[in-house]
Amino acid sequence: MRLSDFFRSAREFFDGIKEGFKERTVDAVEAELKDMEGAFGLLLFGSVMGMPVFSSFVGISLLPYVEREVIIMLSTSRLLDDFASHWFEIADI
Amino acid sequence: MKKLFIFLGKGGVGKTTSSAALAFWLAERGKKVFWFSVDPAHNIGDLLGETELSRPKKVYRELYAQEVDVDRFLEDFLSEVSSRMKSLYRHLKVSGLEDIFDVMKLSPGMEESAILYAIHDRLTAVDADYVVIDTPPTGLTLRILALPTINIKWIEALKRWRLKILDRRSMVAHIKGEDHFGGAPVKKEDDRVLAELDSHLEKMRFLEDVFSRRGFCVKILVLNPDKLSIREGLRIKETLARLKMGIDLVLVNKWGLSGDVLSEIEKAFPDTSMFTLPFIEGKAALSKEELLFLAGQWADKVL
Repeated sequence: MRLSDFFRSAREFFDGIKEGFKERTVDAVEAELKDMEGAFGLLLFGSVMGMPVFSSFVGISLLPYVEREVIIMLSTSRLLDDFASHWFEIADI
Repeated sequence: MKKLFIFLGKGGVGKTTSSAALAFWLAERGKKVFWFSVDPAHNIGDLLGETELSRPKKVYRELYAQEVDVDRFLEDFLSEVSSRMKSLYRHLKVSGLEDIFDVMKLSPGMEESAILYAIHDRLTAVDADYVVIDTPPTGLTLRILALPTINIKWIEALKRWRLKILDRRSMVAHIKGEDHFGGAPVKKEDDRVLAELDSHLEKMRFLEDVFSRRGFCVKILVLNPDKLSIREGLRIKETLARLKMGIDLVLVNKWGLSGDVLSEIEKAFPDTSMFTLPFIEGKAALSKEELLFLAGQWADKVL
Protein backbone atom coordinates (compact mmCIF):
# COMPACT_ATOMS: atom_id res chain seq x y z
CA MET A 1 0.00 0.00 0.00
CA ARG A 2 1.33 3.34 -0.97
CA LEU A 3 1.55 6.12 1.59
CA SER A 4 -0.99 8.33 -0.30
CA ASP A 5 -3.51 5.46 -0.28
CA PHE A 6 -3.02 5.07 3.43
CA PHE A 7 -3.69 8.78 4.04
CA ARG A 8 -6.79 8.69 1.80
CA SER A 9 -8.17 5.71 3.71
CA ALA A 10 -7.38 7.38 7.02
CA ARG A 11 -9.13 10.59 5.88
CA GLU A 12 -12.20 8.61 4.79
CA PHE A 13 -12.20 6.78 8.11
CA PHE A 14 -12.11 10.04 10.13
CA ASP A 15 -14.65 11.72 7.81
CA GLY A 16 -16.97 8.81 8.50
CA ILE A 17 -16.52 9.23 12.25
CA LYS A 18 -17.11 13.00 11.89
CA GLU A 19 -20.29 12.41 9.88
CA GLY A 20 -21.46 9.92 12.51
CA PHE A 21 -20.96 12.45 15.31
CA LYS A 22 -22.68 15.15 13.23
CA GLU A 23 -25.66 12.86 12.65
CA ARG A 24 -25.91 12.02 16.35
CA THR A 25 -25.63 15.70 17.33
CA VAL A 26 -28.32 16.72 14.84
CA ASP A 27 -30.53 13.87 16.06
CA ALA A 28 -30.10 15.13 19.64
CA VAL A 29 -30.90 18.72 18.62
CA GLU A 30 -33.92 17.48 16.68
CA ALA A 31 -35.20 15.48 19.64
CA GLU A 32 -34.82 18.55 21.85
CA LEU A 33 -36.56 20.66 19.19
CA LYS A 34 -39.53 18.28 19.07
CA ASP A 35 -39.88 18.50 22.85
CA MET A 36 -39.76 22.29 22.68
CA GLU A 37 -42.33 22.40 19.88
CA GLY A 38 -44.67 20.10 21.79
CA ALA A 39 -44.23 22.23 24.91
CA PHE A 40 -44.97 25.38 22.88
CA GLY A 41 -48.23 23.77 21.75
CA LEU A 42 -49.01 22.90 25.35
CA LEU A 43 -48.32 26.45 26.55
CA LEU A 44 -50.92 27.66 24.06
CA PHE A 45 -53.48 24.85 24.06
CA GLY A 46 -53.00 22.99 27.35
CA SER A 47 -56.63 23.62 28.28
CA VAL A 48 -57.54 20.90 25.77
CA MET A 49 -55.84 18.48 28.19
CA GLY A 50 -57.15 20.12 31.34
CA MET A 51 -54.15 22.30 32.06
CA PRO A 52 -54.57 26.01 32.80
CA VAL A 53 -53.59 28.27 29.92
CA PHE A 54 -52.91 31.95 30.38
CA SER A 55 -54.58 33.43 27.33
CA SER A 56 -56.79 31.28 25.14
CA PHE A 57 -57.40 34.32 22.94
CA VAL A 58 -53.70 34.60 22.02
CA GLY A 59 -53.55 30.80 21.61
CA ILE A 60 -56.48 30.72 19.19
CA SER A 61 -55.03 33.55 17.11
CA LEU A 62 -51.84 31.48 16.66
CA LEU A 63 -53.68 28.24 15.88
CA PRO A 64 -53.52 28.59 12.06
CA TYR A 65 -49.70 28.81 12.16
CA VAL A 66 -48.74 26.01 14.55
CA GLU A 67 -49.94 22.86 12.83
CA ARG A 68 -46.59 21.11 13.35
CA GLU A 69 -46.47 21.99 17.06
CA VAL A 70 -50.05 20.83 17.65
CA ILE A 71 -49.49 17.50 15.89
CA ILE A 72 -46.31 16.90 17.94
CA MET A 73 -48.14 17.84 21.16
CA LEU A 74 -51.07 15.52 20.41
CA SER A 75 -48.94 12.57 19.29
CA THR A 76 -46.52 12.86 22.24
CA SER A 77 -49.37 13.10 24.71
CA ARG A 78 -51.02 9.99 23.27
CA LEU A 79 -47.82 7.98 23.69
CA LEU A 80 -47.23 8.97 27.30
CA ASP A 81 -48.65 7.37 30.43
CA ASP A 82 -48.02 10.52 32.43
CA PHE A 83 -47.95 13.34 29.93
CA ALA A 84 -48.18 16.10 32.52
CA SER A 85 -44.94 15.13 34.29
CA HIS A 86 -43.16 14.85 30.94
CA TRP A 87 -44.17 18.38 29.92
CA PHE A 88 -43.50 19.81 33.37
CA GLU A 89 -39.98 18.35 33.20
CA ILE A 90 -39.35 20.03 29.83
CA ALA A 91 -40.63 23.37 31.11
CA ASP A 92 -38.52 22.92 34.29
CA ILE A 93 -41.56 23.31 36.55
CA MET B 1 -57.84 61.52 21.41
CA LYS B 2 -57.30 63.96 24.28
CA LYS B 3 -58.77 62.04 27.17
CA LEU B 4 -60.35 58.73 28.02
CA PHE B 5 -62.90 58.39 30.82
CA ILE B 6 -63.61 55.10 32.58
CA PHE B 7 -66.43 54.77 35.11
CA LEU B 8 -66.05 52.20 37.87
CA GLY B 9 -68.38 51.05 40.62
CA LYS B 10 -70.77 48.42 41.90
CA GLY B 11 -73.58 47.31 39.59
CA GLY B 12 -76.59 49.67 39.70
CA VAL B 13 -74.86 52.69 41.28
CA GLY B 14 -75.35 54.87 38.19
CA LYS B 15 -72.24 54.34 36.05
CA THR B 16 -74.16 54.53 32.77
CA THR B 17 -76.08 57.63 33.85
CA SER B 18 -72.86 59.35 34.98
CA SER B 19 -71.05 58.41 31.76
CA ALA B 20 -74.05 59.70 29.76
CA ALA B 21 -74.02 62.96 31.73
CA LEU B 22 -70.33 63.54 30.93
CA ALA B 23 -70.75 62.56 27.25
CA PHE B 24 -73.66 65.00 26.75
CA TRP B 25 -71.90 67.74 28.74
CA LEU B 26 -68.80 67.46 26.49
CA ALA B 27 -70.92 67.42 23.33
CA GLU B 28 -72.85 70.49 24.58
CA ARG B 29 -69.49 72.29 24.65
CA GLY B 30 -68.82 71.44 21.00
CA LYS B 31 -66.46 68.53 21.60
CA LYS B 32 -66.37 65.43 19.44
CA VAL B 33 -67.22 62.58 21.77
CA PHE B 34 -67.38 58.80 21.37
CA TRP B 35 -69.32 57.09 24.15
CA PHE B 36 -69.39 53.32 24.06
CA SER B 37 -70.32 50.41 26.24
CA VAL B 38 -68.55 47.05 26.52
CA ASP B 39 -70.86 45.84 29.26
CA PRO B 40 -72.42 42.54 28.12
CA ALA B 41 -75.64 43.86 29.74
CA HIS B 42 -75.75 47.13 27.80
CA ASN B 43 -78.09 49.92 28.77
CA ILE B 44 -76.89 52.93 26.77
CA GLY B 45 -79.71 52.15 24.32
CA ASP B 46 -82.30 52.06 27.15
CA LEU B 47 -81.10 55.41 28.39
CA LEU B 48 -81.24 56.99 24.93
CA GLY B 49 -84.40 55.19 23.82
CA GLU B 50 -82.46 53.73 20.86
CA THR B 51 -82.68 50.09 19.84
CA GLU B 52 -79.95 49.94 17.19
CA LEU B 53 -76.52 50.98 18.44
CA SER B 54 -74.36 48.16 17.08
CA ARG B 55 -72.45 50.80 15.06
CA PRO B 56 -71.44 54.30 16.19
CA LYS B 57 -74.53 56.52 15.87
CA LYS B 58 -74.76 60.28 16.18
CA VAL B 59 -77.12 60.88 19.10
CA TYR B 60 -76.55 64.58 19.85
CA ARG B 61 -74.40 67.24 18.15
CA GLU B 62 -70.94 65.57 17.80
CA LEU B 63 -71.73 62.80 20.29
CA TYR B 64 -71.55 59.27 18.85
CA ALA B 65 -72.75 56.29 20.88
CA GLN B 66 -72.24 52.55 20.41
CA GLU B 67 -73.03 49.36 22.28
CA VAL B 68 -70.17 47.05 21.31
CA ASP B 69 -71.47 43.54 20.81
CA VAL B 70 -68.64 41.56 22.44
CA ASP B 71 -70.19 38.18 21.52
CA ARG B 72 -70.33 39.24 17.87
CA PHE B 73 -66.73 40.52 18.06
CA LEU B 74 -65.66 37.11 19.41
CA GLU B 75 -67.64 35.22 16.76
CA ASP B 76 -66.03 37.26 13.96
CA PHE B 77 -62.57 36.61 15.41
CA LEU B 78 -63.22 32.86 15.70
CA SER B 79 -64.62 32.53 12.21
CA GLU B 80 -61.61 34.38 10.77
CA VAL B 81 -59.22 32.03 12.63
CA SER B 82 -61.24 29.01 11.52
CA SER B 83 -61.13 29.95 7.83
CA ARG B 84 -57.39 30.73 8.07
CA MET B 85 -56.84 27.30 9.67
CA LYS B 86 -58.68 25.58 6.85
CA SER B 87 -56.58 27.33 4.22
CA LEU B 88 -53.20 26.80 5.94
CA TYR B 89 -53.44 23.37 7.57
CA ARG B 90 -52.23 20.38 5.60
CA HIS B 91 -53.51 17.73 7.99
CA LEU B 92 -56.74 19.19 9.32
CA LYS B 93 -58.25 15.72 9.49
CA VAL B 94 -55.68 14.54 12.08
CA SER B 95 -57.87 13.46 14.95
CA GLY B 96 -57.99 16.08 17.70
CA LEU B 97 -56.93 19.04 15.61
CA GLU B 98 -60.41 20.48 15.10
CA ASP B 99 -61.40 19.61 18.68
CA ILE B 100 -58.75 22.00 19.95
CA PHE B 101 -60.53 24.91 18.33
CA ASP B 102 -63.89 23.89 19.81
CA VAL B 103 -62.49 23.51 23.34
CA MET B 104 -60.36 26.66 23.24
CA LYS B 105 -63.21 28.97 22.25
CA LEU B 106 -65.06 27.97 25.43
CA SER B 107 -62.00 28.36 27.69
CA PRO B 108 -62.10 30.61 30.75
CA GLY B 109 -60.95 34.17 30.18
CA MET B 110 -62.18 34.43 26.59
CA GLU B 111 -64.80 37.05 27.48
CA GLU B 112 -62.33 39.34 29.29
CA SER B 113 -59.88 39.07 26.40
CA ALA B 114 -62.60 39.73 23.84
CA ILE B 115 -63.69 42.87 25.73
CA LEU B 116 -60.06 44.03 25.95
CA TYR B 117 -59.44 43.55 22.22
CA ALA B 118 -62.82 45.16 21.42
CA ILE B 119 -61.75 48.22 23.45
CA HIS B 120 -58.47 48.32 21.48
CA ASP B 121 -60.42 48.03 18.25
CA ARG B 122 -62.70 50.95 19.14
CA LEU B 123 -59.93 53.20 20.54
CA THR B 124 -57.81 52.81 17.42
CA ALA B 125 -60.71 53.04 14.93
CA VAL B 126 -62.60 56.11 16.10
CA ASP B 127 -61.68 59.72 15.64
CA ALA B 128 -62.88 61.68 18.68
CA ASP B 129 -61.51 64.28 21.11
CA TYR B 130 -62.94 62.51 24.12
CA VAL B 131 -63.82 58.85 24.65
CA VAL B 132 -66.15 57.75 27.44
CA ILE B 133 -66.36 54.03 28.26
CA ASP B 134 -69.30 52.51 30.08
CA THR B 135 -67.75 49.44 31.66
CA PRO B 136 -69.08 46.13 33.01
CA PRO B 137 -69.41 45.65 36.80
CA THR B 138 -66.34 46.00 39.01
CA GLY B 139 -64.70 42.56 38.94
CA LEU B 140 -64.65 42.24 35.17
CA THR B 141 -63.46 45.84 34.65
CA LEU B 142 -60.58 45.45 37.11
CA ARG B 143 -59.45 42.26 35.37
CA ILE B 144 -59.59 44.07 32.01
CA LEU B 145 -57.46 46.94 33.37
CA ALA B 146 -54.91 44.43 34.73
CA LEU B 147 -54.76 42.22 31.62
CA PRO B 148 -52.45 44.28 29.35
CA THR B 149 -49.54 44.23 31.83
CA ILE B 150 -49.91 40.50 32.53
CA ASN B 151 -50.39 39.71 28.82
CA ILE B 152 -47.17 41.57 27.95
CA LYS B 153 -45.14 39.37 30.32
CA TRP B 154 -46.77 36.22 28.97
CA ILE B 155 -46.33 37.14 25.29
CA GLU B 156 -42.70 38.11 25.85
CA ALA B 157 -42.09 34.67 27.43
CA LEU B 158 -43.77 32.99 24.43
CA LYS B 159 -41.56 35.00 22.08
CA ARG B 160 -38.39 33.88 23.89
CA TRP B 161 -39.56 30.24 23.65
CA ARG B 162 -40.38 30.66 19.97
CA LEU B 163 -36.96 32.14 19.19
CA LYS B 164 -35.31 29.10 20.81
CA ILE B 165 -37.41 26.84 18.57
CA LEU B 166 -36.40 28.75 15.43
CA ASP B 167 -32.78 28.65 16.54
CA ARG B 168 -32.89 24.82 16.86
CA ARG B 169 -34.75 24.53 13.53
CA SER B 170 -32.08 26.52 11.71
CA MET B 171 -29.35 24.28 13.22
CA VAL B 172 -31.11 21.17 11.92
CA ALA B 173 -31.98 22.80 8.57
CA HIS B 174 -28.31 23.66 8.10
CA ILE B 175 -27.54 19.93 7.91
CA LYS B 176 -30.78 18.43 6.62
CA GLY B 177 -32.18 21.31 4.57
CA GLU B 178 -35.23 23.54 5.15
CA ASP B 179 -37.57 21.03 3.47
CA HIS B 180 -36.97 18.71 6.40
CA PHE B 181 -39.68 20.60 8.38
CA GLY B 182 -42.36 20.11 5.74
CA GLY B 183 -43.09 23.80 5.21
CA ALA B 184 -42.84 24.91 8.87
CA PRO B 185 -40.87 28.19 9.02
CA VAL B 186 -37.17 28.14 9.86
CA LYS B 187 -36.20 31.80 9.58
CA LYS B 188 -37.50 34.50 11.94
CA GLU B 189 -38.67 36.68 9.06
CA ASP B 190 -40.85 33.86 7.67
CA ASP B 191 -42.46 32.96 11.00
CA ARG B 192 -46.12 34.05 11.21
CA VAL B 193 -46.20 33.06 14.91
CA LEU B 194 -43.58 35.68 15.78
CA ALA B 195 -45.40 38.27 13.65
CA GLU B 196 -48.69 37.47 15.40
CA LEU B 197 -47.05 37.64 18.85
CA ASP B 198 -45.54 41.04 17.94
CA SER B 199 -48.98 42.26 16.88
CA HIS B 200 -50.48 41.18 20.25
CA LEU B 201 -47.57 42.79 22.07
CA GLU B 202 -48.10 46.08 20.26
CA LYS B 203 -51.81 46.09 21.16
CA MET B 204 -51.14 45.26 24.81
CA ARG B 205 -48.45 47.96 25.12
CA PHE B 206 -50.86 50.50 23.63
CA LEU B 207 -53.58 49.54 26.13
CA GLU B 208 -51.18 49.43 29.09
CA ASP B 209 -50.03 52.93 28.20
CA VAL B 210 -53.58 54.21 27.68
CA PHE B 211 -54.94 52.73 30.94
CA SER B 212 -52.05 53.82 33.13
CA ARG B 213 -51.32 57.33 31.83
CA ARG B 214 -52.36 59.72 34.61
CA GLY B 215 -54.23 62.77 33.40
CA PHE B 216 -55.13 61.03 30.13
CA CYS B 217 -57.11 58.05 31.38
CA VAL B 218 -59.48 59.49 33.98
CA LYS B 219 -61.00 56.92 36.34
CA ILE B 220 -64.21 57.99 38.00
CA LEU B 221 -65.59 55.96 40.88
CA VAL B 222 -69.38 56.06 41.24
CA LEU B 223 -70.82 55.26 44.67
CA ASN B 224 -74.18 55.32 46.35
CA PRO B 225 -74.50 56.51 49.93
CA ASP B 226 -74.62 53.00 51.39
CA LYS B 227 -72.05 50.85 53.16
CA LEU B 228 -71.90 48.06 50.55
CA SER B 229 -71.15 50.48 47.76
CA ILE B 230 -68.47 52.24 49.86
CA ARG B 231 -66.78 48.93 50.71
CA GLU B 232 -66.71 47.91 47.06
CA GLY B 233 -65.30 51.33 46.23
CA LEU B 234 -62.49 50.72 48.72
CA ARG B 235 -61.70 47.37 47.10
CA ILE B 236 -61.56 49.08 43.71
CA LYS B 237 -59.16 51.68 45.14
CA GLU B 238 -56.89 48.94 46.59
CA THR B 239 -56.87 46.91 43.36
CA LEU B 240 -56.12 49.99 41.26
CA ALA B 241 -53.26 50.89 43.64
CA ARG B 242 -51.76 47.42 43.04
CA LEU B 243 -51.95 48.17 39.30
CA LYS B 244 -50.23 51.52 39.98
CA MET B 245 -53.42 53.35 38.99
CA GLY B 246 -55.59 55.72 40.98
CA ILE B 247 -59.10 57.13 41.23
CA ASP B 248 -59.35 60.68 39.91
CA LEU B 249 -62.84 61.55 41.10
CA VAL B 250 -65.53 60.10 43.36
CA LEU B 251 -69.18 60.71 42.51
CA VAL B 252 -71.67 59.92 45.26
CA ASN B 253 -74.78 59.32 43.23
CA LYS B 254 -78.41 59.17 44.50
CA TRP B 255 -77.46 61.43 47.41
CA GLY B 256 -80.23 61.81 49.95
CA LEU B 257 -81.63 58.34 49.35
CA SER B 258 -80.23 56.94 52.63
CA GLY B 259 -78.45 58.10 55.79
CA ASP B 260 -75.56 60.54 55.98
CA VAL B 261 -72.39 58.57 55.27
CA LEU B 262 -70.40 61.45 53.80
CA SER B 263 -67.81 61.46 56.61
CA GLU B 264 -67.28 57.72 56.05
CA ILE B 265 -66.76 58.28 52.30
CA GLU B 266 -64.40 61.21 52.94
CA LYS B 267 -62.39 59.01 55.31
CA ALA B 268 -62.23 56.21 52.70
CA PHE B 269 -61.08 58.54 49.88
CA PRO B 270 -59.22 61.35 51.66
CA ASP B 271 -57.08 62.49 48.71
CA THR B 272 -59.71 62.38 45.95
CA SER B 273 -62.12 65.11 44.80
CA MET B 274 -65.68 64.19 45.59
CA PHE B 275 -69.13 65.36 44.50
CA THR B 276 -72.59 64.41 45.69
CA LEU B 277 -75.32 64.16 43.07
CA PRO B 278 -78.97 64.38 44.10
CA PHE B 279 -81.38 61.51 43.58
CA ILE B 280 -83.95 62.48 40.95
CA GLU B 281 -87.18 60.75 41.89
CA GLY B 282 -89.63 58.94 39.64
CA LYS B 283 -87.40 58.65 36.56
CA ALA B 284 -86.40 55.46 34.76
CA ALA B 285 -84.16 57.46 32.41
CA LEU B 286 -83.09 61.07 32.78
CA SER B 287 -83.64 63.73 30.14
CA LYS B 288 -80.75 65.46 28.38
CA GLU B 289 -81.35 68.57 30.51
CA GLU B 290 -81.20 66.54 33.72
CA LEU B 291 -78.00 64.81 32.58
CA LEU B 292 -76.44 68.20 31.76
CA PHE B 293 -77.51 69.53 35.18
CA LEU B 294 -75.86 66.57 36.94
CA ALA B 295 -72.61 66.78 34.92
CA GLY B 296 -72.49 70.57 35.37
CA GLN B 297 -71.65 70.01 39.03
CA TRP B 298 -68.45 68.03 38.45
CA ALA B 299 -67.47 67.57 34.79
CA ASP B 300 -65.16 70.59 34.52
CA LYS B 301 -63.01 69.07 37.28
CA VAL B 302 -62.01 66.14 35.08
CA LEU B 303 -61.14 68.08 31.93
